[in-house]
Amino acid sequence: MSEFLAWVKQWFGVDLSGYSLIRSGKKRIRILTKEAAEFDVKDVIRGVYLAKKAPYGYIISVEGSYIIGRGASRHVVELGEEEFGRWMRGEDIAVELPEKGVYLVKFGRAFAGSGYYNGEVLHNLVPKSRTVEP
Amino acid sequence: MSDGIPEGLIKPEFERRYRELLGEEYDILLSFMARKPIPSIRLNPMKVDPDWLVARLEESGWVLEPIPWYEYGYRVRKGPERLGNTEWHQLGLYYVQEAASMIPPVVLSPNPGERVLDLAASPGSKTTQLSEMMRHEGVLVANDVTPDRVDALIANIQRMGSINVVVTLSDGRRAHQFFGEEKFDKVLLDAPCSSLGEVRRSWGALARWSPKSVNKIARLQLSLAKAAYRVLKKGGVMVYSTCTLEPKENEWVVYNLLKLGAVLEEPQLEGLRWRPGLERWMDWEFGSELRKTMRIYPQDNDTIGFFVALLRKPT
Repeated sequence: MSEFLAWVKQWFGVDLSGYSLIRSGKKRIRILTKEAAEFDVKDVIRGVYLAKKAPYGYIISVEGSYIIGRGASRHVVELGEEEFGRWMRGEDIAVELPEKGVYLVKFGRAFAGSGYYNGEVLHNLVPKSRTVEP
Repeated sequence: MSDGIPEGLIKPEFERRYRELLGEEYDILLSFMARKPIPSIRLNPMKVDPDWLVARLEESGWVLEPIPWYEYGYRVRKGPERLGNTEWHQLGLYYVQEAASMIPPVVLSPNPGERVLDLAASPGSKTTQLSEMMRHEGVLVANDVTPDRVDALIANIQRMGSINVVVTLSDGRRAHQFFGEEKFDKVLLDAPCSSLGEVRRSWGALARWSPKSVNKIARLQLSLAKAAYRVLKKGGVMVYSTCTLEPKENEWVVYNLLKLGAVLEEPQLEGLRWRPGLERWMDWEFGSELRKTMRIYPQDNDTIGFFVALLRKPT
């Protein structure tokens, strides 16, 4: 978990220490408030899915994109309206960005998950279940 | 027979009871039951600036009308046919939720920092509303009884980003055994019901209605309500609500909670029309206290029907 927290701090400039993070399986991380984490009851699940380990860093969920994105000072890409529409239909977007890696996607005041920039296109990492059907 | 409701769907005993309940207004009730409800959405202020989203939607041609009793609720007078297939919905910026369904959380009025239980939580419209009203501070436990219901709940909690929610799977009738006695500041029991208030969405409830089925579900509701009351702290408040108009599922259940010592409080809501609960029905004498409960008929606010009671456990 400390590796993920350090990555978020270094890559986005965001400190998540005010939240509780818990592992879910081998690769997934969930986020919740400290009070919800400490509440003593037999649960099915707590909080929301935040991120998943990937070879290039971490895939950030839609919910993670707004939790991290609101305070992020770097690696946030703002799309235009037409690009945003295509992004939400699950398409990759050709853009020019400063460096390869994971970017949070923003349109206006809305955050829309994350993508991986390989130097040419921003690969769409939003799960199909969260995209819009054509 | 009302226009629009298929022939034979209304049973003679239903007509007899509801004519007795509503008198001349019975035909008005049926005419509203025959209409499709007005679609409505609840914006998520924890994910997006609501004013920004409203402006975006209106720029896209949506026509929105504020719902008076919840500041982030809007009726969609004009908008896409599939409200659940827009980018804004998929990002969790709004929840498609019937306007009357926003009332029980408003009546419960949870505060940041409290411990709140939503005992019959799936699919999560009220859970996520409660979480937003708590500004994601404090603990909200969302419980339901079967794995498939809990799956739907988890998906909506995720989409709306409700990070202060703990999901549990237990039989609500034994909530006091599962959670322990007097654990929560506030409890919402939006009970499973005969769904007569939802006839506007589906004829199924009319087809299934019978005095026997109402009695059966009322027994379940009373068990749930008693358990909900047990997990409530002294001085805490509880909302009992249903989307039905059946007195046995509403006033009768609340009347039995009063026998346990619960005290009814009068909800304060602006911009909503409702009728006081029934003092008597058939052979039952519920008493004048029940007038503090809310009967919301479809024709009152052009919504689905609802019943809401606000109860306090004395200190």
